[in-house]
Amino acid sequence: MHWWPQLRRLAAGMGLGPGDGDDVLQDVFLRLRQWPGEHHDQEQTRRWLYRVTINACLLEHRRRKRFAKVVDGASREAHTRQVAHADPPGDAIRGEELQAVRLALRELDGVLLAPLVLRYFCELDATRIGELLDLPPATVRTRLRRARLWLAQRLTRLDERDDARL
Amino acid sequence: MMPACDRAVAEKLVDYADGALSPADAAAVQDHLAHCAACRNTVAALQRSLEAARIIWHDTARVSEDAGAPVVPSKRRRIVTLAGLGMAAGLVALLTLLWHAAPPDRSVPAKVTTGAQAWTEAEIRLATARAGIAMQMLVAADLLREYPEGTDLACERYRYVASAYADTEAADAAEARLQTVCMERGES
Repeated sequence: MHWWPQLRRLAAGMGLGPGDGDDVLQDVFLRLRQWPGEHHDQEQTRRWLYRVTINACLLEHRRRKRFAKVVDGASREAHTRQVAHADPPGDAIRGEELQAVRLALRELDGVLLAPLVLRYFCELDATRIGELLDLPPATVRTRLRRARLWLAQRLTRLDERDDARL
Repeated sequence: MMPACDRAVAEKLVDYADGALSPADAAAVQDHLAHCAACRNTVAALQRSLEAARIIWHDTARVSEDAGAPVVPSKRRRIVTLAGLGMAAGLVALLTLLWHAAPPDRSVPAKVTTGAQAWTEAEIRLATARAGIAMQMLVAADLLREYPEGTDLACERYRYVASAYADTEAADAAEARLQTVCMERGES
């Protein structure tokens, strides 16, 4: 299962930690066993795996949004601990900014989150992303811009709130 | 609403922040930024938010990688005083009792006392959810073992359940499987 590290990275980028991410991936692996694609080449298998993984992550992402409302306090505490052990480049990123972006990623619509992760974390270009998501490259670029502006807007609101406190 | 001159400019700001504009377009955006504080703020926020997102993704990925490594189960922290295999069933039964006992407006007591420990509704839900998730992972790992290539992955999953969900009954079963199935393969 040599795709495992890449798919695990993709699941992590989609916001799934080790438990949920691996849970999703083992479902993908089980589905692969049933996929009538034994005679497909490596590239087709790769695309199929990426698509199924992304869709599964999006479903899990939506499910977790509902679950997070019940255990949000515990999740936030765990994320705060993760942030405390993070190793940001320099000290420019405040913990508050990280939390704001973390929440924004969680709330970001799945159709925007998937291309965002594939482009800026998995480092695929718009054409490649379009092949995986079955979208024209132009649509991928549009969604990327919307996702980036969404995240930036959350930080801008944080800055405006901080300025108002002063 | 983020202050921006117009949508066309805002979209170009993303490409500008990514260094993806042609030299001519980049120069035009730079000229605009010299006179527009709102767009300058937007560019800064684009860069900072992407940097933060990358930290979060890498952090999550690192946690995932660390969780995949073999670990020795830490000392178990029992979260209930109920004994034996009935723990998860007891929590489900208690939650069911709470729901059926709820008044028509579905308000639930803030705390439920069992024995010497008081539980909030959120804690009960979390404990029940954890027990269920751990059991699901255990069952899925057992299914994976049926495939020739799935045993390694199953053993990895047993280790994960035993360490990350050490306070659940599924962890007991996972440890038992690690001792039998995975030891036979020379793993532990």
